Amino acid sequence: MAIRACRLEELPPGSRKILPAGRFGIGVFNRDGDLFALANYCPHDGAPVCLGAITGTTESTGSYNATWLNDGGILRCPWHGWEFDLQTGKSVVSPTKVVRTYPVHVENGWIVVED
Amino acid sequence: MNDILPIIDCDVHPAPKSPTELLDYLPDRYQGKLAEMLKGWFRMNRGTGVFTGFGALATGMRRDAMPEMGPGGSDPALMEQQLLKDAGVTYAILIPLTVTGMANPEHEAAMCAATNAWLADKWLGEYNKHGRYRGSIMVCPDVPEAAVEEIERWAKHDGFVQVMIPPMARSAYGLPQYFPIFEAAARHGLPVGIHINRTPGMSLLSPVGFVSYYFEFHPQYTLYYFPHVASLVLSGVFARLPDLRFVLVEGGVSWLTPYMWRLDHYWQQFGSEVPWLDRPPSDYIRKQVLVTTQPLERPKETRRLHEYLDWMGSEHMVLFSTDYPHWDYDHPEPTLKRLPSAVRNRFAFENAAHLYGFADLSGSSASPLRPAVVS
Repeated sequence: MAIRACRLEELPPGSRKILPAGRFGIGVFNRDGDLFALANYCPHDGAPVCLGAITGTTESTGSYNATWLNDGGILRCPWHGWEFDLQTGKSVVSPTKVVRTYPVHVENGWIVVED
Repeated sequence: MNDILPIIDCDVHPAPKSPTELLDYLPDRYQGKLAEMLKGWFRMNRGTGVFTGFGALATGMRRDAMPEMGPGGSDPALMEQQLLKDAGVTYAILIPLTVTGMANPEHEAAMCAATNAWLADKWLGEYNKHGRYRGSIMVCPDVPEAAVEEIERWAKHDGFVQVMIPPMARSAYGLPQYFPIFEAAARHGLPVGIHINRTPGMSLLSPVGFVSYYFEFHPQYTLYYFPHVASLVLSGVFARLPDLRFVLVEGGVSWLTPYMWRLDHYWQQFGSEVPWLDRPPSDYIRKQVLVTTQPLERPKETRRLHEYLDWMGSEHMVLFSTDYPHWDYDHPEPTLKRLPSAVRNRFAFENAAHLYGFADLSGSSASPLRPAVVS
């Protein structure tokens, strides 16, 4: 089923919208023009994950050194801070834990999520 | 599941809306210094630049539990919505964290007194029309006389159901200077709770020096409880006060099982050093020590946790807790599912109802159970 989220101009880069769709709601995110849609349900404990901070994560560059990467591409759960890749829904630490993602595209100026 | 299972949440943190709210309850002589300190605490809590500890997530709060104004846990409407409605908690035991371990015990005692008066007015009064909140009498253990005074002041207030101390004391709690506090608590049928608190300075010290990361610090909360438990048992506090109950909040559950094994093992060798114990240490612990669930350990195979609970003889020893509104909050539904079904209701409700003197909801008794604690 296709769901019309909103007009594209209503979701400018850096913003998000939670759709009252599915069992838990669906979060639609605009990251610098790229759109992502994820279930508002954390696979860890069921928190409303789409209310979390949009952030980045770290990667080791040798002992006691780390680099910041994927800034703006990480969704951090508002409860326990699990980090998920906005694009794939995969947990950074345990990639087998995945937030469900939905295909999303723009059609005649509308953001459309495929449920 | 939450619709049918009554829940007593034994670890909930209300906060003042602003420093002024708490300052109103402090005597004039403390206004200046404590005002500065309180402002610091608020800055820390709002995450606006001053944080002397480690980088807890979202300044330690569940991100969705931050009200429009003020720190997490300061908005009674939001707490009612998230904890009592969304999470399905029936009763909440409130533990304010306005009193961190301070360098100066008299100041700490003054903060405790102010917090108790504030809690009685607001969260056990104005915000408690539904009657679902109970409070903790905060005391500073290193000023025992003031602590006993606070217990005497609030023990008869229906809303207060336990005495609360931090684990960051100057000595282990079996030492004689603390005994009057426990004696007063036992006299009033009040359990003594210990809750971890983050403070800068020496209290971040582990037995092998200072920790480097918040990640390193958090799992080590349990370390604060090892010495207190041994000290309370071996110094004979539990033997002298058989009605005293100790609640170890937020320090984990499963560690206590092998610790009891170790204590019992050495009792064979060193029992003559503590001849006032007439039973193995684990007997005192099983009868007089309780632990709260959050943050519940999560082995990959849940049955391993069940084994530890079983070995512990934990039927009467475990209380459910969420730690709302903190970031490491345990939501009731998934957490209770991880507990053995045979004791789930005990952990979720019955043990706490018994300990804190809630009326039996089953209707068989309308009178509070306190102080007829588990025997």
